[in-house]
Amino acid sequence: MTQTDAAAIPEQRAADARGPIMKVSKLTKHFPVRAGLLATKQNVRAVDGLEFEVGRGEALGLVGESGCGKTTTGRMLVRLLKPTAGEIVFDGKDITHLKGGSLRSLRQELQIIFQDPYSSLNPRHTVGAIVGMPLKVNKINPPGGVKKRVQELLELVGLNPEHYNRFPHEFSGGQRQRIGIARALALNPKMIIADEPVSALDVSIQAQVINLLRELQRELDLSFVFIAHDLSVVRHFCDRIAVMYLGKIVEVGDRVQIYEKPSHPYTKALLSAVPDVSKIGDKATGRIRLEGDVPTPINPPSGCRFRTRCWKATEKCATEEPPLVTTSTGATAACHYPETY
Amino acid sequence: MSTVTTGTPYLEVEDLKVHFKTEDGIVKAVDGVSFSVERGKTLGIVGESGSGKSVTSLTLLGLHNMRATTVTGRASVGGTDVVAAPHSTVQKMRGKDMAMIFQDPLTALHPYYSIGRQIVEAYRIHHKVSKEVALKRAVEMLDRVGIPEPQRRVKQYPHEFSGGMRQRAMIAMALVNDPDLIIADEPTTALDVTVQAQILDLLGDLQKEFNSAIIMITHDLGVITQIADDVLVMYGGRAVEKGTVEQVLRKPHHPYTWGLLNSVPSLHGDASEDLKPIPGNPPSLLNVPSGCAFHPRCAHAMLGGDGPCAKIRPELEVVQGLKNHTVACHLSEAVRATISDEVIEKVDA
Repeated sequence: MTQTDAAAIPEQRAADARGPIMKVSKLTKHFPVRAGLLATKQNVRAVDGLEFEVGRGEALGLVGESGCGKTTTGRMLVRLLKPTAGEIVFDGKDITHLKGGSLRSLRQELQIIFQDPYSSLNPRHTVGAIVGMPLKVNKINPPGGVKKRVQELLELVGLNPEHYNRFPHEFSGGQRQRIGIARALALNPKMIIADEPVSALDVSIQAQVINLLRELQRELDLSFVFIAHDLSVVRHFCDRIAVMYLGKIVEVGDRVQIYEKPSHPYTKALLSAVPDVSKIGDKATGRIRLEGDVPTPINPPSGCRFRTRCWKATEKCATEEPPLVTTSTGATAACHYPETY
Repeated sequence: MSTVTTGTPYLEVEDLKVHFKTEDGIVKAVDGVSFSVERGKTLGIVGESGSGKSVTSLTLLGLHNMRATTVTGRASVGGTDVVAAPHSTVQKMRGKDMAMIFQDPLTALHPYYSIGRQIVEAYRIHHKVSKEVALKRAVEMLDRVGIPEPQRRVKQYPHEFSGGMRQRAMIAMALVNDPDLIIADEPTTALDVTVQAQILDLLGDLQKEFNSAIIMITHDLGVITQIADDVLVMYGGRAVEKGTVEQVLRKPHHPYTWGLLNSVPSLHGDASEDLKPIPGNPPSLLNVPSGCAFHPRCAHAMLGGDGPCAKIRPELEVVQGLKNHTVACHLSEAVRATISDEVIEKVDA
């Protein structure tokens, strides 16, 4: 890997001044289901009015428990799912309602990396075919040919370009994830949505892939939305983190704001549940135990959705939905009683 | 955790070897592992996929494929050697003397039967009681593992439970016969951190109550620090380091343990620094590297000239005269001690 060209830096700054690469407002996804005794039509409110921005060259982390809507959000951002309501603006264009050819050309600039490196690669295709597919689909003939470009990509993600003709099953989990990354990079995207890219990998391999993604981000000036449930992985990769609970963002802040001075009680509880390797013995000190499970998104609690598990909840929390506002730490949080430091 | 030391450990495994015959050759999934667990104590087994940690536990329960597997060594569970004992004996012990909690409750529970029916079945194998009595016991167990409204829940099916609830139901099923040894294979890997914390607390409480011995198999060092008393680090089917949690995670002496500690991203410290992964991939158990299985990925391997790492397989040796801390590494103790301090300094940063 080479270092970023010195000449490229002023250009990049100029780009940053052009504002965020992605702006999401009131993004909503409801899945209709039949539920209950009379099998009445209801909605699973998977994502319910998200607002956030991703800066150019920035990595935004999206964290939360399973069922909080983070994967649904990721899929809407690359338009694998159609939002029920709201707006996604990518690079100055509204992409919320794109179809057909214009959707395909969007994917040249906006790509996704999937969680499971086993099911996301076609077992009957060679690595060359898999990584070259985006070029073929978009009828792009890179200088030097498709094969040369694919080999460059394989080298970029730390795989042997000679392995062009091998099949996915000949690779380990970590190597497969690298193949998925190479495929995402094939069209020189500006932005990548990474949905749990390392959670299926062994710890030692996880670190390799995180380092690779960081290197690529620096080198290719990529913007990322990084979806994960592992808070320490997100801390390592992301500049800014959005915490989700039951389809809503409860807090957004930078690394220090989220990890050292969490404003929202949920962020605090989530962090304190992570077992820490450096703390042997004090097995339960200062740990917040959340009771029960995440409520169903079919019928979320009124007011603040976290109130049923929150130790700070009052009547106000049940009647008034807290808006996202700036807290004393500088982060943005949706809580009537944010933590103060 | 409270302990009643009886002198002899409840589980004693000695030189356990589990080899499978496959088309491509012999897979040495477990290749000479020894460990023991006392009642009231928890042993954590750490390792990556293919390190042999899950096969070890399946073999103890007699759940391995008998026809294709050769098992040698000794594994005494409460005085009975489960390696030598006939299958019928092991079958009778399963559930009562030892029980297993699996990683994925959705595949381990039968989708077609209600939770209650599955627990009743497990109970009635070891207790000659009526279904009604067994059902009462099932409700009691669901209540014990913290499932609300157990009377109603007992009639429901696995798909009606959330992930955390399913894991609780499986724990209830595993514990319904008060087993003396509980083997938990990645019981919290599929769960969210908040639910993981609940389940780990629950296991700790139940252990105090029943004074059972627990084997916790996991790849998460954080989970180990929270719940285990002793740790066994496995690599390529063998134990590379063994000791108390304090010894292995605060004074680690094996390069693989260092590698694991270095590659885990932390919740504090400098996040702008790159992680230090272990290069390469875990070895194939069909073809374990010569000498020390870790040498191709080891930054400290002594390979040139008389370097022993690729030639001689290191055996577990005592570290700094602490009799229960052992490590299998050719590096000198002084060198290991220095690196160990550096690694821990990093972890604490």
